[in-house]
Amino acid sequence: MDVAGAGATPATHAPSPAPVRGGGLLHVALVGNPNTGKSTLFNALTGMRQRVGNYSGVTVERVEGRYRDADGHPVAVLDLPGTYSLSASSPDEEIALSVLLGRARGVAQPDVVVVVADAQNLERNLFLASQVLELGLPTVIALNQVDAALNAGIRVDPIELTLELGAPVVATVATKGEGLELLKRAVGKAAGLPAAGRQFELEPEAARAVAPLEACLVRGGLNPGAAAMEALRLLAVTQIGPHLAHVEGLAAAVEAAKAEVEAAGIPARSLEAEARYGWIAGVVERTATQTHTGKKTLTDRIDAVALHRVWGPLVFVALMALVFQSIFTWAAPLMDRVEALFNALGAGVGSVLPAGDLRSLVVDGVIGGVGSVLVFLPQIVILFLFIGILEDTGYMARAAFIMDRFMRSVGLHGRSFIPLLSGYACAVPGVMSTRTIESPKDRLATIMVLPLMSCSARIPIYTLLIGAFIPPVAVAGIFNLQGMTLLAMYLLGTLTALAMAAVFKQTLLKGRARPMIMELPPYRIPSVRSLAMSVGHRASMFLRKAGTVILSLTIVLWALATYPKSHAAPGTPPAAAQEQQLAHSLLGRMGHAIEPAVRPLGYDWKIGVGIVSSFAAREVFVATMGTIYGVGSADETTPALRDRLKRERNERTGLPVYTPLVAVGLMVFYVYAMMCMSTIAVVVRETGGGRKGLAWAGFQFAYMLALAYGAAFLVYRGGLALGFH
Amino acid sequence: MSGEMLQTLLAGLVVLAALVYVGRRAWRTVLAGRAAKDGDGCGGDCGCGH
Repeated sequence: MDVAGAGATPATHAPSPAPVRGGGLLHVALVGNPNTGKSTLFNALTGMRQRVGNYSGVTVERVEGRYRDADGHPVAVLDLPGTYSLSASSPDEEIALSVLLGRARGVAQPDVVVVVADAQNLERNLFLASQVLELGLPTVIALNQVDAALNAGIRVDPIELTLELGAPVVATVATKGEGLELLKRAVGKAAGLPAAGRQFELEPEAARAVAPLEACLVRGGLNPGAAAMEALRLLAVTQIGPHLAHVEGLAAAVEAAKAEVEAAGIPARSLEAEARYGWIAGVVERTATQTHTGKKTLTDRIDAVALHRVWGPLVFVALMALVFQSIFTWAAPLMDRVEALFNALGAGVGSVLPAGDLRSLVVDGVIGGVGSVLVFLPQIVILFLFIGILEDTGYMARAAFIMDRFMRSVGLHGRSFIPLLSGYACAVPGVMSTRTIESPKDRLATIMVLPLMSCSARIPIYTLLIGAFIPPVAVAGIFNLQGMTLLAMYLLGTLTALAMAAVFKQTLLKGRARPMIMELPPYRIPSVRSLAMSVGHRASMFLRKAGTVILSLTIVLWALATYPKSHAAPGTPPAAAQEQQLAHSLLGRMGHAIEPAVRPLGYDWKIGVGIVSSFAAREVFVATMGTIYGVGSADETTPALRDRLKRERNERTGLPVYTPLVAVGLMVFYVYAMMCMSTIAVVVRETGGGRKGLAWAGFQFAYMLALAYGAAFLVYRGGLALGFH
Repeated sequence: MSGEMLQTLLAGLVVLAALVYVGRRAWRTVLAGRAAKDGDGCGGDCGCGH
């Protein structure tokens, strides 16, 4: 469908007034309900690669990008977190409202607001639009996903809607780039147009009751439109919000207005919702038509199985099993090639450089250490490809729905699921996305358990140990033990996160469970471009981390493993001399000092050093092992790290250091241990910063370490007692 | 200067550069913990994709 002409609006045909621009730059803010395609529109306008997903809550921060309009003028676009209203009851809604009111630190008040509204859910989307229209800012409505609306039998007339709202409406299909040029023109012209303001009237009694409150807000510096919007909003909320903290006498004015509204027989809490939805119902009736086909859509038919009380969870577990099995079966040939590449590189460099410290640094340190992490790139790519497919098709929203039952049973808010889900990729964005959770206690409980979700940094450790010590035998005919072991590690982390959340909600962070209201988007075919962008982005981040943090730490570890040098007695076999040198090095001495603490878990000093070094980032464990076994090896070739682990013998007992039991215990340790400086820093900040933030992050680090040590101890000792080895 | 000593010197310089980088990263991580709530969090190169 060509929508370019569908949204012809009075505004776009009006003479072009001089836009209001601060320093030549037009500031535009994008707001909208979650999952309206707002971030897709942002990417399409700015050419940026902001993360998008077919479920709500993907954008939790404000993100800025730029484009040039048809006249070459620069336009700065701010993508605000998705929000159903401006009620400022959660941190992300508070961000959106404070930016729109020009009260956000370091952010200019927008010259134009673009409200992205989903044409399929016009009624709900117009609630936010009606609030924004009252703020006194020039506003454009991007009526997005009109193609999907037409498929669902919904036809919205943009011209009629423009007349109803008093603001230009442009039909768009952001995923296909349709309607964007018209939207850009409408934005450029809207900057010089008067604001729409409120398009409905309150009952006379209600209007009289809120008038003093509006006057109080105007005295506090708000424009009359924004004051009218805030006055209605304040009747429905329990907290005033920090952006209005400067308004004198506001609390008393709110209480007085509530009392007067109630005295007039109108429930104060529902006044705003009733007034807005009453007006919206008329607007929708006059501007939209819906053809009821009566037939079940494909989404309905899929959901009959995917959301079924019994089949739903089974489908979910089967899908996850398939994902984890594919990580092994599909990645194996690719991994072998990357491994062969690094082996050849090591051998090549080794043959060019003469023997000496620099050669050892490059071959044993850099190639042996960083190379042993980089071989896991195929696994990372495959995992994110699957996550991307599940997100883009809309299945992740169903997974959230299925998980909601479990979330509520442990006392967590359903909204906690999306941050926990983000934790599978990385805990840092997961912790940040808890901003969508309204209740501070629920938010804190979610942050406290989020790093228990297995992030992608654990994949190199899991796959190294599973590949080396878990045999690839078939399970139930279709699955294999390696994939099932990986799935078990993810399930262990997830179930423990839920159990710990239940503990926190019963003790430190007591509070009732709240129900989740979540929109289930229709299923879509994933966009190849979006998938390629998302996977490419993750792969480049992994490579960047390997090339910066991991590389630097590996070089430092190589130095610690190399100096001071020892001189072996003449006639000492090369392998023994290398082992002697490693034990004499700073790293060896540190390792032997650590060893008593890790010996009860079945680990030797080398694993102890790997654990300590991975406090900076989990993947460093693999790099450390690569470096230690590189430096400590007299072997001129560079066999795969997993082969080196299999060959490693305990210097005292002569028995293998790594057994399947030690490997499982080590994986369990990494399921629980909080080994990530970036996550700790973000937890400090998101739990209040300063001493309070440090206390929460310290508590989290300590309980997770205790959990990791205790669980690894139980696995190893329990396994030995049961006759495993 | 012998070839072996030259190699040791070069390796030392690389290690020094790595130490400076690790120290700078650690300091930035501490600062990120102190930063205002609407900041970026991880500093962009922690590998998280944000």
